[in-house]
Amino acid sequence: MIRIPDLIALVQKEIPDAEVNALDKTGMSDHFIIHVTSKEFVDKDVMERHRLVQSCLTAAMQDGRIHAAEIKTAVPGE
Amino acid sequence: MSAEDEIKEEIKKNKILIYGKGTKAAPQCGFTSETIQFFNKYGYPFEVVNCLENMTKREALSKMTNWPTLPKVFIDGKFYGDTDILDEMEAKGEVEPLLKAAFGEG
Repeated sequence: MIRIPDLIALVQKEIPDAEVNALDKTGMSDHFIIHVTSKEFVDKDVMERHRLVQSCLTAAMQDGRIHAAEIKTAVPGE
Repeated sequence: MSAEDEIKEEIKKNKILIYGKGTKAAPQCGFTSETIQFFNKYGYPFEVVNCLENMTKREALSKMTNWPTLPKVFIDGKFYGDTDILDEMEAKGEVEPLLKAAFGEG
């Protein structure tokens, strides 16, 4: 279980300019849809974008705070 | 044969391969069935390898791809994550040409 503000903070720690929208999909606070918008994605393909977001969440995935994360990425104005 | 070799064999033999939970006929997880439906749309042949009871294979896959979750999709031997990635690639029109090239209709 993780609170959404903490989840957003996890992402912004590695991607400071990220605009993060997180939706608790099941109400159990462990299965999220996470939309991340950042200028850092501009020169990255979809896989690299997702790996970057995944890297922010690895610790929380491993210790069970997050069970599943559906990630969507975008660049500002896309 | 080690799990890695077995995987390399499988991804060479199948142009579209989904490592997931359950089988093509009976997926055992929402994301796996979502991935099956994703490829059903395109009509190209694909296979599903059930990793539900095969921890050795799952760990080998995670190590090979540095990707923590299932399902894991390989197209033409290359790793493409799961529908999170494929949906975004599809929205950018990147999936159709990729599949055409994989099946030699490039």
